[in-house]
Amino acid sequence: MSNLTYLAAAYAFLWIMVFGYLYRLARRQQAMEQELRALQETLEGTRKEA
Amino acid sequence: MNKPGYAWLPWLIGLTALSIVVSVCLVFVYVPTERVMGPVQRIFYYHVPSAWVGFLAFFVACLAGGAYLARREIRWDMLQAASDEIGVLFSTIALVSGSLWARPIWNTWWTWDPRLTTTLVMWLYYVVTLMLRGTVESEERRARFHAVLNIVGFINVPLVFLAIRLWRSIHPVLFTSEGFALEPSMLLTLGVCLLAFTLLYACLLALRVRAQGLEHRLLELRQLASLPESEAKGETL
Repeated sequence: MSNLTYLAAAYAFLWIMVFGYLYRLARRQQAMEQELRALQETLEGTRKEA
Repeated sequence: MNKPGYAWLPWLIGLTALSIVVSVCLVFVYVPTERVMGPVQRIFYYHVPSAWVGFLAFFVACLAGGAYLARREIRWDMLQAASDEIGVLFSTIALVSGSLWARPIWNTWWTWDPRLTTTLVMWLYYVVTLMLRGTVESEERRARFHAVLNIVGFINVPLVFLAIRLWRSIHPVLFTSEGFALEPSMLLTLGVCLLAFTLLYACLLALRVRAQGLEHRLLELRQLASLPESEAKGETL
């Protein structure tokens, strides 16, 4: 491998890790927000019925 | 994005993005190519800031652990867990980028040098800490256990920094008693990269803590939803 290949590999690894982490965080947050909304609606419904 | 308490987050993200763009320009356009190592030396400008963010994240986790033990507030536990996770991420980047730099320069992917070995021990410790955290069910016990591990584990962090001064090492020494062993343009580039990575750490930390707050709220609501109707209606949303 040439010097430039090592350089490209190091930078690629860095940004894949950072953006991969951000993507995972965003996906998890989206799923949690959806579940939170659904749970809030369920609990609101239970309260109204009561 | 603009939830109460996080109105400043878009500004922080913008500033981080700007500093990263500036750092990329400096690394690939402004700074001269190092004479002996050639272009591969440019790994240095992100390798050092990655290691710095790792140290910073573990330091913040240690402080948050201490604050949790003193106050028993869940927000400190969220901070220590988030900071450890980001610390592990950046320590992984530092280890891998160092290995990719070592291959053409030292002619090996890995050597049991004091700096490399102590860094690997630090990385393993925090990976195991995060794994063990996941095994404790009680929220209070988990937070206390994690706080103790963070405080004890931080003993190794200064050792990683001092390893190249305490023992014979092939790892270069950047900060000497006579100042920085760097040419001014390289020092400026490194400074901007350090700033960009510190801002990136702050961004990721804020996003992760916010996600943990959401996770905590979700857990509370799940428990509330599973309660009998008579108990649930007394609770506020």
